[in-house]
Amino acid sequence: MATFLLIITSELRKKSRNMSEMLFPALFFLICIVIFPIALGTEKFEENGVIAAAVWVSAVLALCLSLENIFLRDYADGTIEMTILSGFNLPLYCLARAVSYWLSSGISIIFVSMPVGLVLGLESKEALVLFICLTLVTATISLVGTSISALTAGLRGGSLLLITLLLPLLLPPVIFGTSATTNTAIGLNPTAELFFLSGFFVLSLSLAPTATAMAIRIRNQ
Amino acid sequence: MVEGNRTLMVSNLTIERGNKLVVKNFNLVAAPGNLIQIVGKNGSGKTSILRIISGLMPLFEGSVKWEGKSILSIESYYKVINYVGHSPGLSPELTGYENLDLYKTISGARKLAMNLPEAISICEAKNIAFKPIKFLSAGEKQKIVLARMLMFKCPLWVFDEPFNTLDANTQGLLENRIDEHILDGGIVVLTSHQPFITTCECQSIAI
Repeated sequence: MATFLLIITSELRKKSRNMSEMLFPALFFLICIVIFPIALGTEKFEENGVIAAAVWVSAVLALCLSLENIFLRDYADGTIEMTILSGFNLPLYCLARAVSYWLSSGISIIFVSMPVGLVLGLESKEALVLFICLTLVTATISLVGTSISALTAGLRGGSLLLITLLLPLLLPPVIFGTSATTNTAIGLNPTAELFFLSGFFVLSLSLAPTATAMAIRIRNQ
Repeated sequence: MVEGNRTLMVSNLTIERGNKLVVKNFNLVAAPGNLIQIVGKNGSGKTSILRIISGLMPLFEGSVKWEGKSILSIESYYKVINYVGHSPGLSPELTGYENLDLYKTISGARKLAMNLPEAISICEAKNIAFKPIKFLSAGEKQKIVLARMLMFKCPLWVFDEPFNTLDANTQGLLENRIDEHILDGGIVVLTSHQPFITTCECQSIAI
């Protein structure tokens, strides 16, 4: 457990010494969400559910764009090679990497999206559901994305391959997440969707670390 | 002391890369106290052989055995190997000390030969250990890599061009360490394009 925490703190320390990478997801999110009212016009933008949808699109895009960086440098500088030789439990190492990715990128997006959503006119109940859904979905994407990133980082056309592989795995949680927020906006109960999202999260939590470890071994040949 | 019977045996190793045969029927036997240098031209497959011996690359054909057992079936093979490769394996944003401390922690299952500050001072890396790796020169990085290697007590040392970028002083230091390891009954398998000095007998295997 102490080792697990040390891996996470080292990863966060690495990120904090590279500010541009750290701020990228949150800034990208802001740029993205500013475009929506401009493109749609204020009247359409204030209709039921549109603000929440804009937050969803921006958050998912912002998170996906930085996925490639998770393992990119580790392959190049040989850190992964040394980690394999260390004899440390590889799935556990991969889980620590996914958690640190979520702590650095996922959380910053969630915490930027809340005030921005409220300023744009999101109601407090909608905002709460959005907050819970975003937390679950960003955590799921971090886990799944880490394993695909381990497979594609550093390949020619790797980022394109990453998005293509990620899309089918990404859609179910995003569908349930958005329907939870739109249902809340029109006064329905979002519990069912929240259960589904928790299910996706638990599924990826149990499978993704092992998949990442296998991907790392394949790539390191 | 490293006990006897610790023998590395590579037989009929054949390596293909991109549908091209790189190494054909490579054989190697290393008993305790052996220093073996693999000699060959650039691109002749030396690095691939060392990576296969370390268990980093899968076997295509042939076998690699440690103490008579295939290395693929030995679960704790990572405790046997001390590998120094081409890429340093250090994160550029972290300092040398942070890198090694993290590595020492995740290698918790391996036997330690000395603690971290001692390894750093032996490699004369005290004044560079607290700078981020990205500000270090290639030779300084290699010093940190050597400090990491010295921390662990492993019978089999596998070095890929360890003297590259090192200054004469540090090279001498590594040469002494290799001699000590050999006298202690360890095994060293290395490649080097640079000449190096050793008091032990050095077998050369050409590919």
